Amino acid sequence: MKYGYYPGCTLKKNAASFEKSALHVMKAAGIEFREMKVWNCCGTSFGLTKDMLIHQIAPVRNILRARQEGFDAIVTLCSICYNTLKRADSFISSDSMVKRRITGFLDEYGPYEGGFPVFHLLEVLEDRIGLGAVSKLAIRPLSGLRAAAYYGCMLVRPAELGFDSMERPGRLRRFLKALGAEPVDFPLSTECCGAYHAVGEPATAAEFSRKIIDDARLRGAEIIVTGCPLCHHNLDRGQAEIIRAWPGFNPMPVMYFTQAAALAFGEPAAGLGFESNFAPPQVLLDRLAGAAAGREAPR
Amino acid sequence: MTAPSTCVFICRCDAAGVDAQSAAALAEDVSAAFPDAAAHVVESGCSPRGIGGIVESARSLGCARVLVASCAPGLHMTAFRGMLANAGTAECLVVNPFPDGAGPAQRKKAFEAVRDAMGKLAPCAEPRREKPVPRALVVGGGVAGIQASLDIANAGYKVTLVEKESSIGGHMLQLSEVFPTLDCPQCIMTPKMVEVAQHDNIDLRACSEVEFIEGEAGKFRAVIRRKAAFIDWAKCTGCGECSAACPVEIYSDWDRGTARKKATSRPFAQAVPNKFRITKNGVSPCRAACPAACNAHGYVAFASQGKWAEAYSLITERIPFPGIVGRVCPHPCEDACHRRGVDQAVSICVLKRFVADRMRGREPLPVPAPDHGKKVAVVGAGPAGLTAALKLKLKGYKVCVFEASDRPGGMLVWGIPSYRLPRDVVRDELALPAKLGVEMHFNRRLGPDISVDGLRREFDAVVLALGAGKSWKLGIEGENLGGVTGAVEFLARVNRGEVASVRGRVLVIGGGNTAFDAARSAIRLGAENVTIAYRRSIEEMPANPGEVEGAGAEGVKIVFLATPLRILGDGKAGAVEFLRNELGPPDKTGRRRPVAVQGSEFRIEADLVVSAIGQAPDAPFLDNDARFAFRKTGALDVDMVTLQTGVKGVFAAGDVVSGPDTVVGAIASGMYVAESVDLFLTGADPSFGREPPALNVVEKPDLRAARAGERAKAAEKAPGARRGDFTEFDLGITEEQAIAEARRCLNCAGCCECMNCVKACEPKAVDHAMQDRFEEVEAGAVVLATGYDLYPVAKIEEYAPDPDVIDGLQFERLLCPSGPTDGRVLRPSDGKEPKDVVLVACAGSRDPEHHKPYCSRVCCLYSTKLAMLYRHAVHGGKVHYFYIDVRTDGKMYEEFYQRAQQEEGVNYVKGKVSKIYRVGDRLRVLGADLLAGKSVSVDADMVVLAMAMVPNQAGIDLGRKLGIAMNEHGFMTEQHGLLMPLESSRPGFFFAGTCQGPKDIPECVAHASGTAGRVLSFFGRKSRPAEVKKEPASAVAGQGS
Repeated sequence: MKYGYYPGCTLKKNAASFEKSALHVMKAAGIEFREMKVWNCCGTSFGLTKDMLIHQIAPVRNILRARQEGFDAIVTLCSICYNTLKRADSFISSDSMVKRRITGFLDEYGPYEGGFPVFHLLEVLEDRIGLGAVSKLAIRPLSGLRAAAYYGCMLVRPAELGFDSMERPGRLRRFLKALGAEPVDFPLSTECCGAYHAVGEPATAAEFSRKIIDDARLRGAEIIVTGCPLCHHNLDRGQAEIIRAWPGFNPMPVMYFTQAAALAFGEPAAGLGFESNFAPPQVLLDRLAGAAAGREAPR
Repeated sequence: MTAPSTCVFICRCDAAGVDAQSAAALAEDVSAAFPDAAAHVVESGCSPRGIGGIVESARSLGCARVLVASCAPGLHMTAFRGMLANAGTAECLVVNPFPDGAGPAQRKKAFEAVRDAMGKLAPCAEPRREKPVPRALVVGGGVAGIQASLDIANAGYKVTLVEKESSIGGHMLQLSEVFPTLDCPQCIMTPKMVEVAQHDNIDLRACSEVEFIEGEAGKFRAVIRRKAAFIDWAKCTGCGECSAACPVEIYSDWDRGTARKKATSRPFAQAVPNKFRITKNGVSPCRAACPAACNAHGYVAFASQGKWAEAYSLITERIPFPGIVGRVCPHPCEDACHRRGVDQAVSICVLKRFVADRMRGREPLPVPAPDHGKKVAVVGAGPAGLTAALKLKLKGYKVCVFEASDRPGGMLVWGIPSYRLPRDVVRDELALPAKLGVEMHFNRRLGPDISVDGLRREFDAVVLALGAGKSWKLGIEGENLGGVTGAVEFLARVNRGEVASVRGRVLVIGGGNTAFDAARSAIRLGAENVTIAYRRSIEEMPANPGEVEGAGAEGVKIVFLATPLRILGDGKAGAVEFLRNELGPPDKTGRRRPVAVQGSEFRIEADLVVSAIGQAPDAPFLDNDARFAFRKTGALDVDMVTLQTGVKGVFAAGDVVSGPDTVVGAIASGMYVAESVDLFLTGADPSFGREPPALNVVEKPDLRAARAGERAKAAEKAPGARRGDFTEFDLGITEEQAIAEARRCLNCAGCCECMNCVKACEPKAVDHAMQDRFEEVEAGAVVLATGYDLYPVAKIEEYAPDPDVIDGLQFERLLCPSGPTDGRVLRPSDGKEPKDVVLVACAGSRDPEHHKPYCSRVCCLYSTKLAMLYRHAVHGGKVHYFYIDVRTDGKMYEEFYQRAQQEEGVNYVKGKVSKIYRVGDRLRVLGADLLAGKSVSVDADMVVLAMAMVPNQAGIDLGRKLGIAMNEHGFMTEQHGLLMPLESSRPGFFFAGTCQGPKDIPECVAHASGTAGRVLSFFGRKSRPAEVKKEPASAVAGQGS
């Protein structure tokens, strides 16, 4: 299956480390992919306003372009792009009137009935590549790393668009296990990170993020792993705001699942963008370095 | 003009939306199609004037058959029929011609509906005049079924009451107290239950299910499955001795998991009928896996109760030497154990050893049957021979054992090293046959001292249990050099004490347990360097993993994928040359075949080379006897069904037949051959009926009652201290460990068939072979009272699965004075008294997006009651009650609610709970307080969910089988929601209680009494022509208005 990689805006800027690590992982896993030649804004939250059909144009055009470029499916990294593209497609598929109007507006791409597959990279890795294969690729397994798998909202909600159970998802957990880590029990894995409040009401967002991080710590986690740039922003860089309000707060490292995978696949940490972290994942990096040294000693 | 045979009355009225034109058009079409029928349009046919007109016309026209085309046939049928029957009409049907509204577009459809109904009317010209069978079949023995049964029976009609559980009473009996009166349900219900049991007109069929019902209203034939209770209820006195004797504890449905029950049990002390029942799910996999068919589940169950003597007796029924087998068995039972799916297998083998060690010196002696004079000779005193000897002795034979060496045991003493199997254990256990009177003759060799023919002349039968005492040759160059020996020969010399020490480098070739025995013995004798070479990889290695691990710990090196080419040396072995292998495709044994890599030769230096690649019988005296044939493996060729050799009356068992096998395999073989000999000597055909019984092995165990716990680990001597030490290094487990280990058993089969209940039952009521029986019942009407269940807690994913997150019925059990905690509120996780309890109403109800859209009706009040009872039971306990809104639409309900709020201090919080999860030893409950307008977080010790009421699954299944209409949630649909709420869609089937929709207790009782009234009026009606006849279902199908 040929995947059109749809990055979206954040991956090219704030979440560059997500993209960098994801490209390593996709290559290592042998996923046949290429970044789409032309893509535009996914449509983000505008897509939620159903009566404003014009807002569905952006996501549907992205899908039609992927089809035109000869891909069989779209693979995304950003949870919001994933959600928006899937939502727009499901919206036009379920209403023939809407479909007619939107595809009419985009008639240069030819007729479209809806249903072009849109995947999140985690889905591709688990369902297409297989966790057994992922385990085999993990030549430097994250043994003993107690990680909290954090989903946020957009990957699992609403039920008909999410890639897993809304309340008790397991994909990220299973993936981390395949990498050799020990995912902790983490009830707040789908609680709100504070989302866009980070812009207007940073104190509110900080309160939300703090609760999540404290719970992860309570469960014995040394690190939080996520698949959403906005969650990553709130949980990682948001810690500056948390410390402002709670000076005694201890930082907790946060990383993307692709960074964790790239490390496990043997990629050097230097190229994975950890320098942009507020709380660098030193625990993991030191441990991996130690384990590697230990392995090399008897030679 | 002759009288028309049929009158068709077409009803026109504005309420039903039938305009004059449509009605007239229909009359015209009917007249055209049926020339001898009269079609009339009637204004408002259901009004007194309309119906009067219809009756008058029918009477004046002298019509035998009438068809009324009107709305709502289900509702109108009875009225029209009654009136017309009085006017002398024999047949009447009502059909709705305009289910989708009248109008020109519907003309064709309307005509077709009437035409079809006319077709149904015609064949009914000869009505039957039977009275209904005066018996009601009531399905379900909850409060509704009990009430309906009593009402019908008290009116003088017979009732058959079928209940799937072993007692009637239903969910009501599980409750602690009932709102709003706070009566004790046991106190108010048991009199009714006893009345049912003693009523002359009621036949109670508990532990039974309806298989199917055929026939029609007035005359049904039902087949009832009387499920096997494995206890004959005609004899059972309800004394409970069987339950006290039962060693198995399983999940209790009655206590909803708040307690365990015995596999032999009754749900509660006041059960009606007061009879016991045994839960059987099949055969436990451990038991099925044992070559000797030892009841592993049974003795593990006894061990869980610390009943060591019972455990010992059960083991020795199949394995006479438990201390030996408990030490050396490769335990296939543990490979089959379902506990592996949870964590690790139950340590069954170690438990067997513990039981044997514990009973040592106190073993009960079995009593042989009286001697009947027939004589059997057994050659070989290994495990197979001695087992056969013992078993035959117990059957009353005179048995003589001839053994070549000076002591019993065979491979147990000459093959297995003493650090694995201490000699005192072997000596003591193998003394049993002699103790029972088996004659033992030592130093008597087959060949030089005795002969098969000689024995055959002297004895009625002979069993050859010669073992496999000769190592296979490697078949390579240099095998005759000094320092090269077979493993069996090496071990025999070691065990005879002929090898004081081993020096230098030892190389063992092979991968079975014998290879490891040789290697680990060599280590103990002081060898500096011991290596095992095996031609395949560790995956294919037949030795026990424990051996591999233990040998590794003691310093034995293992070289995989090596095939020996030649032994090098000058007069004495110095090294072995090997070829490196790769693994090819699997061979006949399923193991991957080693393929040599050319040019990959390498050497391993060795002063002593031990070949351990297999064993064959050492019986040269049989080789020249044409009557005995040998297979390629060297094993004696016998009839595999009877184990009889070429000589009649001469049988063989153990390794001589199978090649080197396990001790338990030898014992199984000994048992089997004893059976053959017995059949042979009693004149039966020993090949008849010898197929192993087909076992219904449990595939999915019930994990709900699984206890947590790690597999027991036996104490061991430190590996470093084992050099030079031939005493046992595995020190076994403690009694405490043994009980804890046995309690890890999942009791897959339910009943373990230890037969302790059979021994305990004085009236001899227990019958483990009982089968389901079928009974036929004729009935005029059927009342379905199949009841409800609770929507499962697990369906609400935002509430974490946790032992302290329970449903309302579980809390009822915890509060019930006769419940598992005697009414003390103790939370399930740790038995502590919860000081903060959160109640969540509408858990799964009123949630159309994710769960059930409907209101379950009883939760507001029963949660209020639970809150009150909890407050009474736990001093200073706090209750937080989350609700959407509190609905108190019942007599005294609002007062009850206000009392809880104002006098009992229950804290009602308006809002839903969004998440429940554990934080430390408490539960965090996140929710909303809508009155305060904020989100709240409550930390509680226990959470009780008032789960939605859903129809009982057995009721849904039965409804489907019977073709009863049900809504999308499985609640049964009334014939008319408002006016015929007690009749199901199928004539003659009524319902009572919650199978029709959520109800509280007084509603159920009223509903059931109403249903009983309907049944009675059906039974009591005067016989009339139109009474009992085939109801053409499609004629009423159009009741859409």
